[in-house]
Amino acid sequence: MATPIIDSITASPSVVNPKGAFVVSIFAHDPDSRSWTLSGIVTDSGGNAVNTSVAVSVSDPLTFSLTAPAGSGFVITPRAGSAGVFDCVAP
Amino acid sequence: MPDYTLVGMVRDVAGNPASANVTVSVGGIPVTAQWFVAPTGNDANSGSATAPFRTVQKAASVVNAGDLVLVADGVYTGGSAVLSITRGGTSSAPVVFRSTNRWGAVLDGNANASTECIHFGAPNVRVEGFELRNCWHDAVEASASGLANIVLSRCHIHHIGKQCSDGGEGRSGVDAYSNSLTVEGCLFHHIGRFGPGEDPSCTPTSTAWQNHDHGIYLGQGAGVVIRNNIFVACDRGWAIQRFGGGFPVDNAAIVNNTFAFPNPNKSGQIIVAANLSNTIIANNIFYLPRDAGIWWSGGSFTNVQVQNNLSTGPLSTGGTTGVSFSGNIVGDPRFVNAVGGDFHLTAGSPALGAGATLAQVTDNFDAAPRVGAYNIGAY
Repeated sequence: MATPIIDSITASPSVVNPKGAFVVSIFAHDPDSRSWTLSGIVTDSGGNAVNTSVAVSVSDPLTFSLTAPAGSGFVITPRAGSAGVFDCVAP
Repeated sequence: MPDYTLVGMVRDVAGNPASANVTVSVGGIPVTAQWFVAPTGNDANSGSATAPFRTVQKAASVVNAGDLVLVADGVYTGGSAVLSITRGGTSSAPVVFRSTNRWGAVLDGNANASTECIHFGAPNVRVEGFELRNCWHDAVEASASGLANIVLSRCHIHHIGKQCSDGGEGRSGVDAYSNSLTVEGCLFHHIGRFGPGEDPSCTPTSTAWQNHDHGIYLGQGAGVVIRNNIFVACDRGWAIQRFGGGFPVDNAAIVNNTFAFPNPNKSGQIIVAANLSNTIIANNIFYLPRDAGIWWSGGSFTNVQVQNNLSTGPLSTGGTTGVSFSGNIVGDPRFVNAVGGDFHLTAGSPALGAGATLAQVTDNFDAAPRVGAYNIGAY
């Protein structure tokens, strides 16, 4: 099981006023993830067939965290439903 | 304006970690108004975050004391000066021009069409984080009458004056004739005109290409601070030239800079060729200068202290009456990769913890706080 790969980490904006709000976004992926395409065939009594497919990806669930220097006073809140996104407020 | 490093961490179900950092700058300057500039903007806009200006010059024409101009990533060109600043602030409420991301906003001289990348024409102005390039005379001109409290912070200054010329003009990264001028955390390289055989067949008929063009042309000023900068191969002159005839330079601090590689044609990475008083040159690294790090070429010196510098060879040459030396060392600074441009120090470097603790320096080139015993050099 390989270590996750962080594709990017950004702060927007990266320059803020004191008490200013910003958002940090971390994009990462699991190098072990794999994708397959599953095909489905539906056939009626007359032998008429319809094909369809669906892509399935299997990867480890990743957990994200963000920390600021101890005592710096940043407020960091993970955004619910958006893995890797943090709403932050500067000291 | 302090920078903070936030650490992002990602783990998989087995607990395998990966981490990456992001830097956030938190301003401490009172801001009266904010103006925004972006490549997608229009100078007919209001300059708000949602309706930015297109040019930095437009923002410069509307700012007042205490205002902040935030410039988005992109390339900006202009006229004789890409950015001519004629509206300044006050000493307690400067006007600030800031690249939103360090070196993301580029003030470009458009293949030497612009004489200067930035022209300071008003006092109490701070410029942060820009890339300055391709201007034919100076990246920064700070010689207007009455200038004071000018700060050039964390900029990337390169490819300035790149023409084939026999002229006697001095081309420079910063033309410094201002009181209370601070140049900090900047990277200088490729400053000065072409030499023989460059671009691709320059054939100078004079030797001006050997010594007329400089990283900083220190002509005049009281209270000038040059700290935490990196000067790479300023080989058309010197990284810092103190010249300017009878104009005084007093109470200057040239501290915690890294000077790398020689001018093969001239001695020193700093030349002092005019009067200098009440000045400290400390905690600098002089890496592979020709002959010596500092050439005391001329002028008279009063209360000039040279301390805790590291040089790979002799530290100074020339007459040093009025100059005192203490704590300077000779050695290999053991950079991570000097040829590759990484001047961080590695374990065992004699520069680690060997600097003097200086009131003029609180952080380093990376804007990280200096804690404990100061290192010599920009990191």
